[in-house]
Amino acid sequence: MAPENSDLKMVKELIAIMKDNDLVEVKIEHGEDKLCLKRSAGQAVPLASLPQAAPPQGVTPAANLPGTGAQPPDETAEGKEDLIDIPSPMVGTFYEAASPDSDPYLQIGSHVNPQSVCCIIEAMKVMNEIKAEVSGTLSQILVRNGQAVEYGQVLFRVKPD
Amino acid sequence: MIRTESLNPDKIREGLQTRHIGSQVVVFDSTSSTNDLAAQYGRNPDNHGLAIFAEQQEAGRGRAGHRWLSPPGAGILCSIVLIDSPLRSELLSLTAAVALAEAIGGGARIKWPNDILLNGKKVSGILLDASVCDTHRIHCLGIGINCHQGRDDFPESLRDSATSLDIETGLRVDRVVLAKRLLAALDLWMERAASDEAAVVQQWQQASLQLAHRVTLCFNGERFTGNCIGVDPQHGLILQLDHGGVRMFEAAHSSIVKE
Repeated sequence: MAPENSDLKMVKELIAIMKDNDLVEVKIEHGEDKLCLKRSAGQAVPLASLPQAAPPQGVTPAANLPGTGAQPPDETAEGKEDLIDIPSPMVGTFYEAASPDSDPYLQIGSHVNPQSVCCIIEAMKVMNEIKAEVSGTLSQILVRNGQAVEYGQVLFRVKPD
Repeated sequence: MIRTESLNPDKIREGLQTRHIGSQVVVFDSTSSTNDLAAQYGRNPDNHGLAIFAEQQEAGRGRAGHRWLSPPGAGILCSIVLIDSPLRSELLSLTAAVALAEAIGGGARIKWPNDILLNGKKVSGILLDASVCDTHRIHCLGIGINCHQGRDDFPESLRDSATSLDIETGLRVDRVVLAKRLLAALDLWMERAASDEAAVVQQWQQASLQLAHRVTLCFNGERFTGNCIGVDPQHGLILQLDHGGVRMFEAAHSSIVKE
């Protein structure tokens, strides 16, 4: 890898390129050197000159929370490797239904196809409808209604058809 | 009971010279939520720019599941259908705030990210729904403006934080004129945002209520207070914290508690 200052310059340039082109992830591999930069859609990398905000809180499994209908992950009964993750494409707040009066989009056992809406992620008062983009049966719900979620955080797991 | 002029699509369209926004106008007496209607209209790409107004909403929505309350005929309740907008969602939301503040006028300020306040009280709000249908990106831009409400029309819990144009101006606002101004401002600013994003950000910052003021916000369930030394409309608020240190608070996980 090149000297440190050169690396820093390259990272800054890559951040600028990502921002200009609205990219959310860049991976570069050169021999043994690997670099991966990620940012949430529509969100920039935090200002380099300022201290970072607190690290995101750990994911609280939604298991046993009242009213969520969520189930605890069951890694033993059903191998995780058989399931497909549905990750959050952005930072925001997870909502299981279109409005407080509506039924949740999905429940354990729901069948989804790539066009099925599975939840809303709210970021800056933009309510983003998230689609499953996979086909199968919903096996796990890993977040609870109203929970803050991070980019890439797994929201659901689906047993493929 | 509020006696009021009714919204009429022909009157709203009359003399309106916009490129896209308000190219079609429909008015409903009553609906669950104009954004729900907009989502249905949005399935047809020909409806880009359609403006849907309602005299009454039975289930108007705000942020975090809050209700948007408005007596029949008392406000502007409107959703704009946007198909394949060149603007990304966050910029669209901020552009709408800039346009809305301009349409309302009278020193309207923006409370991050996109509430509109007059004399420190909320007079208008925005909710943007984003989805994809087939290959089209659909945005339903929901806007509520309090017009004819009196103080007693607001629930007691909101009387210190919500207001209407009539209360603040002492005049009776003409909703048709305001609707025209809103559509024209949205059209202008969205056109501008597509080619000059910096102009939107600059205007947004000028109208920002928080910059250089004390702010308390809730970030991931924890409260922080400090002076706002920077506002990045797309990324967050930068506070000089009372307990020392400077931090940027990511928009998506923060909410303002009080100024």
